[in-house]
Amino acid sequence: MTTEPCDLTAGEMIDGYRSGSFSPVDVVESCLRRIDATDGLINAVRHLRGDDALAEAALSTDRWAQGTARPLEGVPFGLKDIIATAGVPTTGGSALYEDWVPTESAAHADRLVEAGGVLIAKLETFEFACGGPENKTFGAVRNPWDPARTTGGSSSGSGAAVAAGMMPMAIGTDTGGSIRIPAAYCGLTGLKPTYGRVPRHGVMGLSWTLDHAGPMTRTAADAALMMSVIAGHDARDAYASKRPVPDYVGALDASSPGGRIGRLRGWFEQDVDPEVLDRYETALSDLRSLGYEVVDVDVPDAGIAAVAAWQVCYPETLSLHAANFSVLDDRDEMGAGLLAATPFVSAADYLRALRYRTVFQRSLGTALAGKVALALPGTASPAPRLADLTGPGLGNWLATAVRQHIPFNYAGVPALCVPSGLIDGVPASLQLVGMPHDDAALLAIAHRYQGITEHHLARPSLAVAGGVS
Amino acid sequence: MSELWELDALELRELFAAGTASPTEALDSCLTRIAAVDGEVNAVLTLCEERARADAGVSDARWADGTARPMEGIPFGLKDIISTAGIATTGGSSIYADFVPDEDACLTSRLSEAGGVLIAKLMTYEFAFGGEVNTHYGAMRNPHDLSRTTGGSSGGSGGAIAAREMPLAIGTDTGGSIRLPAAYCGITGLKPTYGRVPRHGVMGLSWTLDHAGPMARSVADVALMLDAIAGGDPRDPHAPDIAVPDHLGGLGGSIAGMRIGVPTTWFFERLHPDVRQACDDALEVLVSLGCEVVPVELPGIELAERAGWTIMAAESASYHEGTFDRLDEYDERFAERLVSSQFVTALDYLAAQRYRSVVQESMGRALSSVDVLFTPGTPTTAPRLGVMEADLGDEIVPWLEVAARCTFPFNLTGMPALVLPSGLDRHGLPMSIQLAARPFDDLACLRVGHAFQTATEHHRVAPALAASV
Repeated sequence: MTTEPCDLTAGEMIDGYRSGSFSPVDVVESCLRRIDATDGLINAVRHLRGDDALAEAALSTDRWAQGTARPLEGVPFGLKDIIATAGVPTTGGSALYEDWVPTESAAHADRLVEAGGVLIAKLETFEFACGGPENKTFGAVRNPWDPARTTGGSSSGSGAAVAAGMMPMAIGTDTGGSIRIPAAYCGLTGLKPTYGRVPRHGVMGLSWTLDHAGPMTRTAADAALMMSVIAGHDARDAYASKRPVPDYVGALDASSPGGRIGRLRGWFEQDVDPEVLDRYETALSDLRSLGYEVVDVDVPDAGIAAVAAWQVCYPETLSLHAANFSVLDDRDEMGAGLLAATPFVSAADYLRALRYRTVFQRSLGTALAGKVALALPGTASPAPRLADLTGPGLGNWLATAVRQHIPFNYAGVPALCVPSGLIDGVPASLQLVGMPHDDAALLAIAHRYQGITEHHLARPSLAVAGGVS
Repeated sequence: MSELWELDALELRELFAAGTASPTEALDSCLTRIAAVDGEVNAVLTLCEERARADAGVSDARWADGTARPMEGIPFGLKDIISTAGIATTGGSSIYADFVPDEDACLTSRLSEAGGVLIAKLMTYEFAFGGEVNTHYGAMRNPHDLSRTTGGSSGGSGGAIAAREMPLAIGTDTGGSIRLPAAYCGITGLKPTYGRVPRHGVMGLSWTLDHAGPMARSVADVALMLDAIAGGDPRDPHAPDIAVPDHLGGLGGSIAGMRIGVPTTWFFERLHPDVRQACDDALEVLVSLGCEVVPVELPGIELAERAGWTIMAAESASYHEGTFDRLDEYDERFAERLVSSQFVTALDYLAAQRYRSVVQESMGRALSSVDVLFTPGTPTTAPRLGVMEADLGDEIVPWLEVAARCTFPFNLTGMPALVLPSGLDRHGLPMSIQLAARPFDDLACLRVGHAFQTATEHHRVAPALAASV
């Protein structure tokens, strides 16, 4: 079996371009073939930039030939469709924005293009990043590992597209797990960076206190590569950090592994599928074999943080989307359900939730003291079947799915999911959490873990077969 | 010769420097004055005689040995929501009647380090938000007419300075609580730029609107005090480390050519004709000083006060959540507000917070073509206690319906706003004007205000109380 260029990582693509083994045009053509072969079933792509991407790949091919290649020169990428792209439709996954064509691109979208990346597709999303797996307007996104299952979300298209080999990297956004849940369900590496590390200018908001944008890739090294391009201050985002951007790629191998990793007990291990726990124990053993010491830690107020995060999310979401949600019945089920409760959140509730954030940040700080990272299962279960995600099943899934994630949105700390094995043929995941602005340390641990494991190399049969027959 | 208690801070400083009076003599004079008039005015809540005598003794020595600091030996008072180590800090409430902080507020220690002599803790509306008659500590009476309110919530600070009990005091201002009593008592008060003066150790009311600042009998004295207290403090995340100009040193130059913007809406829509006439007269003075007066549009200003009240209600309710079960111990007016605040929804709160940027942009546009904005300080003069009605000339309305309409917008925008006397109305009560400028350009307000006071005598008008005792 020969590897299709579209199945390579971004790093491998760049190596191939540099050595002249193949060109950006070869890769983009390969990606387009993969999309053509699989997306009818998967439904990850909202808007394909086929000819434009090929034209840009040709320019990148020239740059490689001329020696003027930029850091991501000729690497195809996708964007969740709540991220504005000048001249390219940006639907927010909603019928309400079906015809919207922004005149300005999101800050990080511009940065990816300026680094030589080739935007190949806008990718499906839960409606306004909260509507649920069954998108009424554009249909459900199917998991490449098992099309009967969800990708999770809300960065559903980003998860499926990268897993299926349609492109090596995509941007997702994460308010309560929306990068990490699809990364976990689709066997990807997904980083919710530190709050404010990646500017959100041009990203449709859901809850400004909790919203993050970040990379979804097949390796930690690719995530680091992407971070090195998208991180950094932007004056148009009041929340964007002005700290200098570290060398994420250089940090992957800069220091030797070692130090203590805190295993989050309590809340984060409750209601977790036994098979997931089994893969998790194996992952912890792997971390030990790398030289990390794994010690138990508890963050006793994690459950409070999860509740508080929702109290922040509901009113901010409705505040941003009041006009869009004026007719709740027209909106997708999960988002409508979230917002129906919002009028009953008092200002005192909201402020209590906002003010508890510093308390929880201190709790996490205490748990992280003397440790390089915290560890927990990426999700409580593998990807559920789409058929089970309706009515009460949908609400139950949401509550379970965000449990491992939303506390870290609330705290603003970096959190990373990496594949940790398969359960009945679908991926399980390990999550690592760090101190604010320790994103590089998490990527380095994940990179070392991927150096001694092969879970991230496993590919869905769909991608291996090159398409559906 | 004047009594020492009649003198402004800078006048005292000259005498100290010349050796014709000492800080201890000034303190004794002020204590005598307090003993003579405070029974009627009720501005002093706690006299700090012991600390004051010790500090004045130090100041005597420093003037003698040539190590005097900028405020060396000048008596000042603090609104009693400001922490003083070892001295009761009641918040004007029975709930904190026995609270003795073990640490000074940031601004308390800065004033002491500048050589100031803390003479008294001063009356306040309960927690800066209760009624004009403090249920626990009585009504503050206006030295210009003892049947009238000082306004508030820094009513003790306003009364004490107007009654010549001390030359300087600190007030706090969430919707006008420095500027209302300054206006009603015929003194000069600055609500500095948001964050200019750290709030560490100041009891909060509404953290996105709260400001602390100087109250005095002249702009120059305000500048002297501001120089002592301004500047970032790491214990207050809202106080940025932005360079502090020499406000006192910046006074005195010509203001010819400065552009004075007069809003065409809102500020001049509901006010007593006497106040309007005083504004017109003040503008003539500014024109005679070489200023150019230009009308400015402030689109969106009509909802600014409403947004401010919504935010204040929500944040004060959140702040007092911990003692909500002791409602019957609160001042009746505060308790009412606390209860009604529970019905502010999170959505209302966020709408109000998000409206802030609308007003900021509007003001910012206006200030791109003028140096300061000019408005009345308050629409009317001080109402009678027990009646608390505002006389607008053509109608009489409940006090709070109009009291904060000129001041509150600048709490919402965070801009510096200075209130200073503009003469007496037909009843002999002080009227005022207000000058507002760009964030961190407090100096612009002070320069124009100082030039105005150099050309006029309004700020020198002492209440009859002062003359009679």
